[in-house]
Amino acid sequence: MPPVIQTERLTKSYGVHRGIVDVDLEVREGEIFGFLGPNGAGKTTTIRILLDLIRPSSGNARVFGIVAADDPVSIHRRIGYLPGEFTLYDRLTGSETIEYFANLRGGFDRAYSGRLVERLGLDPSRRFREYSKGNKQKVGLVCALQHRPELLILDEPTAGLDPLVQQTFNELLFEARAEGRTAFISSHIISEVERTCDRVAIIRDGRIVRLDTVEALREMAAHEVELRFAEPVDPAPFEAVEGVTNLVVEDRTLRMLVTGPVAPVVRLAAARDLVDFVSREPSLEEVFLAEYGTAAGRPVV
Amino acid sequence: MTATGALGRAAGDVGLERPSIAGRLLGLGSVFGKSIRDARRITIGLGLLYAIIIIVIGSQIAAEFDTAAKRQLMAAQLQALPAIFQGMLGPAIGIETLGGFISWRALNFVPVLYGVWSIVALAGTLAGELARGSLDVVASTPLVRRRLAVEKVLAYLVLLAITVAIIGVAIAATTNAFATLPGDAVAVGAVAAHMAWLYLMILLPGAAAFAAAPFVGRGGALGVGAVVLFASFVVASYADSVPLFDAIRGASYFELTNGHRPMAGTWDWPAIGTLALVTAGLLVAGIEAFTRRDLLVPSGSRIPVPRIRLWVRGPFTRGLGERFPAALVWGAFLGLFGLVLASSADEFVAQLSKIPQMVEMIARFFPDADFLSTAGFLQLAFFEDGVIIIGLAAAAFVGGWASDEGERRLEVVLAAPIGRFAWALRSAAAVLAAIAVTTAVMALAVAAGTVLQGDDPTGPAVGISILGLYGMALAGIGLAVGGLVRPGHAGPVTLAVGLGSYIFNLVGTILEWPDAILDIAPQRHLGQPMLGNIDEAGLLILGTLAVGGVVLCALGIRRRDIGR
Repeated sequence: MPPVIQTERLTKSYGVHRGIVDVDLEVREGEIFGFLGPNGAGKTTTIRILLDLIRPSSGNARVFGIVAADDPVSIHRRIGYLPGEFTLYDRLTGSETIEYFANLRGGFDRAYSGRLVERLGLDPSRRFREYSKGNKQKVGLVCALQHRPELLILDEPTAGLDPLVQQTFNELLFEARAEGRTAFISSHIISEVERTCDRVAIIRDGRIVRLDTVEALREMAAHEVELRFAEPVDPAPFEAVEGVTNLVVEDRTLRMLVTGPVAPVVRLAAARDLVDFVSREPSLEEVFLAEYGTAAGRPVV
Repeated sequence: MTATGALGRAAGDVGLERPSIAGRLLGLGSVFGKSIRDARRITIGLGLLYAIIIIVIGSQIAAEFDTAAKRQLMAAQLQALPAIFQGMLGPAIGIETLGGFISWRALNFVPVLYGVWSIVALAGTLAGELARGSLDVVASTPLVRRRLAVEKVLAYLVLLAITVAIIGVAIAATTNAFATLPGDAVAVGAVAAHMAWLYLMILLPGAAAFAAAPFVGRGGALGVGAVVLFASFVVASYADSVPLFDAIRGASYFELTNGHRPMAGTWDWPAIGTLALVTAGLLVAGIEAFTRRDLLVPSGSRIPVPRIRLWVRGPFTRGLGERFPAALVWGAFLGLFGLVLASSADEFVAQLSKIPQMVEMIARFFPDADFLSTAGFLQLAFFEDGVIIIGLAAAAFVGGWASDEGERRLEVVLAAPIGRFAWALRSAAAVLAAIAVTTAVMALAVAAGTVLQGDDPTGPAVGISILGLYGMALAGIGLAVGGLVRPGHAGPVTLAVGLGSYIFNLVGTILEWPDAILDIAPQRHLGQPMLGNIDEAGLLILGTLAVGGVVLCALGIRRRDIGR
């Protein structure tokens, strides 16, 4: 089965400014794919190329197997898109805005759209300019979801939404996945990606630096391991294990960071008089911050 | 999983309402329909506005000149005026008939007035939406990008057709209802042919702006359209008086179509065909550029100004810094026009001196002035255009000022420890300062041209200053409305007062309204400053409007809700 999204050495430069460089991505059907990166890393540039709003300097992007620049309309017919920053039509009400974008897609499913409006808690009778940031975001979400697209491309979808609406949004996303649809979500809110996504790509300075399942990415990051023994032990064998760093000895306790498989450390510990073993799995946030080097000024795992 | 699987229900499924034909044509059923819906009021309003003007002018002229002898005398006097006096109205063709007179006195200037609308509409139809961010959402729907652009353009073509049709119906009705002499009634075919000219003349500068917009953005496109419109118009208007303009008159689309006035009995279809081809070419170029280029707001179209800390010291310097590049452009544009005219003054004076009757007639209008000078020539040729263009500049600056609130920057600014009154006072003063910059650049250029002629530049420089003060007065009115009522009204009100004042004065003069009524127009209080005739009371009024407007603006902003 061909990937829903596939990019090969996708590059975009804006004159002297970097956009993205050699981005290779593959998003499979039926998954929720997270696209993580800080502001300016190249997330929106990638998305806009997928939609053929801008064209790549080199490389190519395929959506549903179609080269984005060759037949964007065929792609657009099957996607729902929420931009990261947008302002729609100040004078139209929420319901008029939703109806307009439905019409541009061939028709208005009033009942389904109404259910979305209800679930997101939107008052559709107000003019767009009167909405708060969160309510504008809800209008954008309804526009993106109301035609039940095969692929959702959502740029910072939960920006401005309160926690309850974020929860509703997550439910909508899971329902879409359960129905076999695909979602490509750009975000810099790591906990959100961790909660909702099956696989994640991390983009840094325009390049993809990690791409894997959330679990695999966690595996690749260092575990915090604490071993408590009945009596003091020699730390040297533990230090010699590949992947062990930051080893600290405190009386009869050893603390260390273990990158990669923990099994060699467990075997060594088991051969001694082990009293307690604690291993804390890293969060995706720690994986992400590790890629970017620091968090709040301190080195991270 | 396919598009029409469990979720991707195909259009036509139960529950899916397709947009109705009416919705597609005038509503939210299509890009075309929405564009028509958004602009329907202004379209009909502009049509009705000029329809009323035409009916009033037509009825008054028919009543005033009700015999063939009176008409012939009036036509002979007007046609005897040298080109410099006919100026903006173009050649007086067939003005002894009702149709010819309406064509000359009421219609020849419409391409300028409504050309501004065309530029604003077509420069922003795609570029404005791109800058706002909504175009990304529209372009992600299954609409071919070319079709999106075509629907936008087509909508404007229809809207303009409606406006022109309303004017055409008013003309046909007027010329037939008030026809008192043979030749007064105009055939429907001639009106239609005349409206074809009017339609294309209004459209062309907008088409130029549309073609430029994908490359230079909305602001740059407005500039391109304005240059095409005003340069072409000024060149055609003064080609007989200014040698440089005479040399390039062939490039003016006003000049190109001067022979097509069907309501006056002259036809030039090849010229109209050429105009149509050029206009269509520009529109197609704009559509293709939009289709092929990245959907990015173009950068780098502004004049580079020194990045100095002055621009971020406070609301005044920030406001001035924001408008400084545009102020330079407006000043340079108007200044270049003045420089060319000033440098041509000798030729004009030489021509005029050969007609003693004309010298005598002008002397009656300007008894204390030396109009056979560069200053006199500038008063006659430059000032009348200048009041319109400085009004456009003022409207642009005021619109920029209003965008601080409209685009919600003001909320962030006012979160700083600065009072509303103080912010409004300083930022509005920056608008006046921007007009002062425009005026200074313009004055320098005109003074240079006057010195080149060996004349004293003081008079023209003073005259330009008063032109600047007039611009500030218009801005003051717009700022007051923006402050007291709503920021979105500020720019349009400035534009409406500037152009409305001109139209009011034009129509009132034709209809010989009493001075007490005509004096409502601010431009009536400028005197003849290039010639040294200063209207002190007028200056006081203008100054009061400028300063009072800023104060009212600040008072309004202190009282009302922000972000309306």
